[in-house]
Amino acid sequence: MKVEVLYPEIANLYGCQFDIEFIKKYVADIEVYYTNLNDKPHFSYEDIDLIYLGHLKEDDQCLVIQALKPYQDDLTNYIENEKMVFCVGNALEVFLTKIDDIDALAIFKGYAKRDFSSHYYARLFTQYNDLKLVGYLSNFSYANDIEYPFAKVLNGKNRGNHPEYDGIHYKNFFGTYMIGPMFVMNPLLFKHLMEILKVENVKLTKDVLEAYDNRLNAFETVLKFYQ
Amino acid sequence: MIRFYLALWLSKFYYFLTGHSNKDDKPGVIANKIDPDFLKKVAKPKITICITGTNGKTTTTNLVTAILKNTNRRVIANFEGANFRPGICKAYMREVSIFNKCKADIAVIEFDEITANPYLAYLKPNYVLVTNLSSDTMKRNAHTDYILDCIKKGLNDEASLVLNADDLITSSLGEGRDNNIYFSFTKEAYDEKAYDSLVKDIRICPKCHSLLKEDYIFYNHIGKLTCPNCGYTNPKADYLLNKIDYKNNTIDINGINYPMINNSKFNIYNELSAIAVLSEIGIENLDQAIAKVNVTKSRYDSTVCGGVEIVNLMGKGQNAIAVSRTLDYATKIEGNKIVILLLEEITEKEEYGTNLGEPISWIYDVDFELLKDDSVKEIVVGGTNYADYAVRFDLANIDLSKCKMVPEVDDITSVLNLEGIDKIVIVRDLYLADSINRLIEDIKRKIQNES
Repeated sequence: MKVEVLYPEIANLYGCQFDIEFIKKYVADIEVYYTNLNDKPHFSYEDIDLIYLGHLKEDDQCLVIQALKPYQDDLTNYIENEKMVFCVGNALEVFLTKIDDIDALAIFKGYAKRDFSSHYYARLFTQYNDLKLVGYLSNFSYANDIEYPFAKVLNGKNRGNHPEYDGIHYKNFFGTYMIGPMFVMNPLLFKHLMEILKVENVKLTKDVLEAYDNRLNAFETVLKFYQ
Repeated sequence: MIRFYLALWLSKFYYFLTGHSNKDDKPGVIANKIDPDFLKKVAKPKITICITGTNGKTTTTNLVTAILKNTNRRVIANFEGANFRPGICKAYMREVSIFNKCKADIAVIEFDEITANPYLAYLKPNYVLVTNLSSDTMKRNAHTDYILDCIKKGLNDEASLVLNADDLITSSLGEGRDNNIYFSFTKEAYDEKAYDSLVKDIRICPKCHSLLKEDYIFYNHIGKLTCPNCGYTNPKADYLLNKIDYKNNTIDINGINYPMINNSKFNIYNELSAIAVLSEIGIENLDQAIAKVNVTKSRYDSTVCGGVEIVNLMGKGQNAIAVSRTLDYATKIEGNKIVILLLEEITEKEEYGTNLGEPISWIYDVDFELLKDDSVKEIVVGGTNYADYAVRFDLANIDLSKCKMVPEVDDITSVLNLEGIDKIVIVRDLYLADSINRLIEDIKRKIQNES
């Protein structure tokens, strides 16, 4: 399996690099490429199974857009050919049409609005198919008019003009505003994604599942409190 | 001004009624509630120093205040770490007369980075000292760009900035400004081998976005970084720490020896920054004033029982860099040790009937890999997020057979294996002081019973 981590020197907030450490731990035959801003991305010239993009400072989103612009067609083809992208936090915004007045990659419809009046934090509890997902929002922006939402929000104060949904899911493109690290905190989602990539026999440890169960129980308890 | 005087008199009256309590911010709450412009209108001394930073601001504020008091100066200070508006209002209220005449010579005010605007506009400091800037609690402080922005919005043009030259993020505050003063360690003086930290808050050149080259690193991003493309690098320091003399307990700054108050590098940085700002003000006989300072006990304490030293270290929960630095310090303490981690503050049990706790993402920025040190014989984690720590330790390739996860703090003592142990190092969150005292007593009883 080949994983490309885009721009780890900037797309690295809130421990998200441990999603990659998690993949390395549970997938035996793996090669991980770390692509910096000035590098030519591997997806543009070789077969990559998973592209990962982590959460960014807002100024750094522009650097990512500039870095990916020359490879926009390659990226669009990659996504249309059902190759996997997983992005967390505000990383998904670079794939939208605009972030405020800034032109983004316009691979997906929708736009992001920034609000620097204060930092936004929330817990979020969502559901994707049968999978319950737990995570946090920590950002200064939100998305509107998303065409392909990812997960249904069960509890938590999401933002945007459709707060009942989080993120983007199109073919095998997964973008969530949540941070965790997402694979670590949502091992069943991780297992599901690995199954899509035809990685079998992912044996999650007891601790990973216990941490997830504990958090899930806590999030569900809070959900009942509000119902 | 009627409103102001009402605020002043009522807050003074309350302060008097509560016996001049240092722990209660209510006098400041009252002053601010009656007159939200209290801070703007209250009389100020001739010199004001404002101090902020991700780590070390309370210690540095306490230190600067203590040194100034040792020179017989009257100081306005919110030295209890009360760095929000009520605490600052109270500090000023204490040191002005009922007619708003300032009795103090100098003000030393710690302020929270996020609230620089409008506090700095009210206080109009002569000096703003920034100890360092790095990732902090995710919930409130987001990331360093946000913190920088908050501080920049509050800075007044007249203030001289006293900045950490070893920190490219902090020192960037000085760009485009005159009268900056920088302090720094020399590479030779910082005599500790740096480990490769998970978190480096600046990795690319802010000018041309090339990857920065590390000339040398002290910890995280603190050190000397240079852009191989455009040459962007750290500014030159005005106050240079050249040497640490552990035998005589002194530090050499610009060729002058000062007593060393505490030998941890974190605290030496705090002392260096204090000396920089006080030297700029022109405080005489600084070395003598420093010699009279007692080190604050609230962040490091130890007691010996039955030949085992129990060390109590503070690691600010949710602040990955502070905890990493504490772990680095802890693992370097000589002897075979048990490390007990109590870093989770439970906040929501009563509201929802469940221990959701604070967000756990931060532990993935902590350098727990340091605990792989051979001298660490056992790691005990207390708190309800124990399973998350087990996952984190596994990803750090720490031998899980030496880890014990204990949800209830009161059960920790029973799992400790004291055989061959010289030290028990407790790394605890700031808000768990009471639980720690109980734990230490339990551990002492266990040591006595087993010996």
